[in-house]
Amino acid sequence: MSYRASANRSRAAVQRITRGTLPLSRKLKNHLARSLDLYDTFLQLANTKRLKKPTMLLLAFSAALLLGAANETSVSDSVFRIETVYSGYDFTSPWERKPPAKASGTGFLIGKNRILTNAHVVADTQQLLIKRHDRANPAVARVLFIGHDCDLALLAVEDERFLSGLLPIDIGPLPPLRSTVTTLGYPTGGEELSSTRGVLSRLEMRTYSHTASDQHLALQTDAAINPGNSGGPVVFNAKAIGVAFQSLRNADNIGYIIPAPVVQHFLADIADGKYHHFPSLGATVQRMISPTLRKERQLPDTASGVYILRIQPGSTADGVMQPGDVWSEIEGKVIDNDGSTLLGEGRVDAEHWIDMKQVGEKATVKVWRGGKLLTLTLTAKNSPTEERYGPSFETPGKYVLYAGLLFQPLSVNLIRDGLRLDSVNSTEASWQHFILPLFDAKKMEQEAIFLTRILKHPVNSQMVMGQGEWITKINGKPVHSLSDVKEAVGSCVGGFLTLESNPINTIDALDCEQAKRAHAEVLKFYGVPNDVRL
Amino acid sequence: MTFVCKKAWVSALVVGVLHACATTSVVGPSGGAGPVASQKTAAVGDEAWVKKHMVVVRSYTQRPEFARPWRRQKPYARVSNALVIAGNRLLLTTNDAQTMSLIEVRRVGEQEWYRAKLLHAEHDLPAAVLAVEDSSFFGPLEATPLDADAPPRESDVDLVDAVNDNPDFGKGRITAVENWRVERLAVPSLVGTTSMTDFGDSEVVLFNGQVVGLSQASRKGGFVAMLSSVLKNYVSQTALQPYRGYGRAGIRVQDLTNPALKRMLGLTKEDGGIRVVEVDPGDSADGVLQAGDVLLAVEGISIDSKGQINHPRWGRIYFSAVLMDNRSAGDTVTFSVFRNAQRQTIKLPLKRVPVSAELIPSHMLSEEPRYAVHGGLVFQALNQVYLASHWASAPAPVLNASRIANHKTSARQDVVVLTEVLPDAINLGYQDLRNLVVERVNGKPIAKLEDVALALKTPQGAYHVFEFQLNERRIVLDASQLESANQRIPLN
Repeated sequence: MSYRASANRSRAAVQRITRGTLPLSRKLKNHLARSLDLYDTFLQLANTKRLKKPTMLLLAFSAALLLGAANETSVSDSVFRIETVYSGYDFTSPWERKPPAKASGTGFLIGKNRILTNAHVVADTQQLLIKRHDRANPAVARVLFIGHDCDLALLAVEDERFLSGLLPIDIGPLPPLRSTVTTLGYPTGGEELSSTRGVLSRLEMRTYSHTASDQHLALQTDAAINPGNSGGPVVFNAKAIGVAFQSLRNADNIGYIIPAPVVQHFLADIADGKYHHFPSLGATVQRMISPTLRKERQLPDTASGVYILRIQPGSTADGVMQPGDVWSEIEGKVIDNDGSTLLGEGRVDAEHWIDMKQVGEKATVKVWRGGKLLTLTLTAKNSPTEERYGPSFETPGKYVLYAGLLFQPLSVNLIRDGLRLDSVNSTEASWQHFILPLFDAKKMEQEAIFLTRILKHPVNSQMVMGQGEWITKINGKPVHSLSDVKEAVGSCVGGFLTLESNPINTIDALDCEQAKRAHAEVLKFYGVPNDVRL
Repeated sequence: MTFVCKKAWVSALVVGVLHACATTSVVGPSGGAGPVASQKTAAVGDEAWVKKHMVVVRSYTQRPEFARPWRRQKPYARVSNALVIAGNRLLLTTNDAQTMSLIEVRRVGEQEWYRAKLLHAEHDLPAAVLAVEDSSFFGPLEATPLDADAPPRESDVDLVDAVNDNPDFGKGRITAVENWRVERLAVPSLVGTTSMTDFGDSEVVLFNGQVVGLSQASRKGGFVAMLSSVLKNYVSQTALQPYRGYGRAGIRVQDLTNPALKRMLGLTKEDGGIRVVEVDPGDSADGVLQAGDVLLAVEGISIDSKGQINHPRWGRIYFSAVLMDNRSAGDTVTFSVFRNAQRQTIKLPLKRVPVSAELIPSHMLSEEPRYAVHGGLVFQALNQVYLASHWASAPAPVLNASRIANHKTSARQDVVVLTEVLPDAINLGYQDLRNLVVERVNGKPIAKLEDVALALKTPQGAYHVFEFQLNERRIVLDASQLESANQRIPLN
């Protein structure tokens, strides 16, 4: 009998046990099941070392069984159910919050009173409770740090005694692809801790759906990741190699894990007590699959890279790279013509290496410019656009309300909360296609002010403008920020307040005398506590 | 507000026309009917009348395939009614007359088809006039008078569809005369309700036995018919040399319902009026009206603060109906205008903007899409049909051009778009690209489609370099390969 056949037999035996044909306690069955992972690892080891004696394998298997059982106990005890009552700000009524709602997710202990989870689990939270799987009483927790761009958050419980006897789970190194990992968490369909197993299948840059605008490294697995799993550890050899966070809809068992390097980046970032976010390059690139394009850019036959089309002002690349450059290396990694670099056994987008820098850190890049290979140094920065227009959480929307007219700067939150623009299509896509390109580089620091709502009052009920007008001028003066609006309405004492909109130059007016009287009435009638938040 | 948007197959997909129906609209004019005649000609269910005045038209149409402009879509047949008019001619409402490859007609209740030909077509209405080669076809037929004007609101009308072996007679009720939006113009049309379905093929609308309209569109539980007066005006125009067509004001307007706004502008409480916010360059109002003008009255009829007038024959209707009331391009419409706090009378001469003057042409049914293929890169002069059906996510500059500034300038006479890359070794690495607006070729700005071929005569060194709007992509081709690639890449 070959060692492989013998090993498979042993494995089958364990599987029979775990599937419940033998009268063992549930806990032991779980332990046996968990140990299968370790068994696989040992098997791989045995393979590579060319160990052929089935006895060696049996020894390894027994060790794995014991080790797995021991580790499993400590790991699963440190995985918590997180229950949140959350209430975000309602950007369409920016003086109000949305009605509170309940949700649950998973988190796990990673250090002394340090609990890691997903940002989307605890975003906009008003009450945070943490439950151990072995105790009924929950503990009150609070958010220490939250990184919406990487969908990670760090929590602490108010009473540390709650965590007594628990060991933190180490953040481990990434195992090779095709390793079998276990996802622990509290998904829908029951109350108890659940574990699902899957194979790590891919490692590449993916969009993180929490903000829908950030891309980082993500691991793909076929372990079931369901609502409630979010924030749970993905375990390999008793170490958390990532955090389960999202899955693909309309597909079977495509789950995603925030991998250890992204988690470690987040933890290193907050080490100084402040979160600085992930940097980004800020350049738009084109693949150089075309041999003619490579020749025209004077690349030697052996060279490769991507063509820099555009550079966002104020970004990492601004002032260092130039449109027309061919970006060929990042931190010593060769960039292929499709923009990928080697990472372990696979390939990952070159942007990953910028992503892994902390804000302020330097990165060395090489570019081909005019037939010469230049070595340049970048200083990692956040994206200037994202800062201004990206989605925000826990932060109320800015506004000026005057005589029932609600002025707000355009933001993703506003569109997500259902702003309808009469003048343009109001999906997020159209915001990107439509509004952003209208801001040229120099105007990036400006806000696009919209008349987002009219709280009806006789003073404004016959106005021509509806909600969603892009206000470009008030009283003939250009409006570039909410402060400009505040100033303009403040100076409306006699005469008229004249509004002008884009892209069709509609005008509208309020009688200042009437507006002044109406203003207080509107605030009272609609129960608006403040007329401005800048 | 009774101004209605028609969604024809072309315009249905045009992305979000700004304020298309209400506060902002393109205003257009028309031609006129003669005195109202009152001879009774038909009774309900009068098959003899139908056999004398109506015929059946069968046409085969082949539209271009806009994504692959060297191809045509499969031909399809359409059967429609037509009305017999003076001069041995036939009148029908159709928007694809000019792509009809074969037109045949038969008399109602007979099976023999006669070959017909297109004498004239007007997309702006839309309507067409046909002639029949064999004049014996008209032997038993009689010209139909088009002198009746719109029946009053709530009138009961008779509807006749003669395409089947036995003509279908139905009942309908007139709702109003409304401005019905056809691709470029708003045409005053008879709108009514009926339980009959499938309108739009020139079914006849009769009131008191007289033809008051030819249906041109169907809508839920109802019909839309072109007014006899509009048709009569069109028929008389087809005799003119040169043909004049219809004009629109070419302005965008806003309502002035807000009393504070009216006071701010210096208008009195009693004033109605709507405010011009934009004048389309090259259109009728260019150089005549200005942004900021308030239109108080048209032809002596006051315009209210939402743009409605009380038309003497059609009732309450959007003011632009006057531009189509017995008028055509070349005629003048008189507006009373409030400009710079002064009331003045301004005569607006109506101008027909040919489709060829539009930057992104609106109805392409009468014209072939323009394209050029270089090294497998397919370049097209962008038209509204392509934009609507193949480029849903067009970027802001393109959409703005298509809606707000749709007129040619010297710097931009076409929007030249790379619509597809036909795969070949020469364009390896670019084969997934599509829908990119060409900005420069070999460093030369591209103002029109033909400029691409010109620019390709002077490569940059050994390469042809294509640059696109917003710097979206860069394409570089080997110049020495272009000629042989052009010969070997098939168009299919």
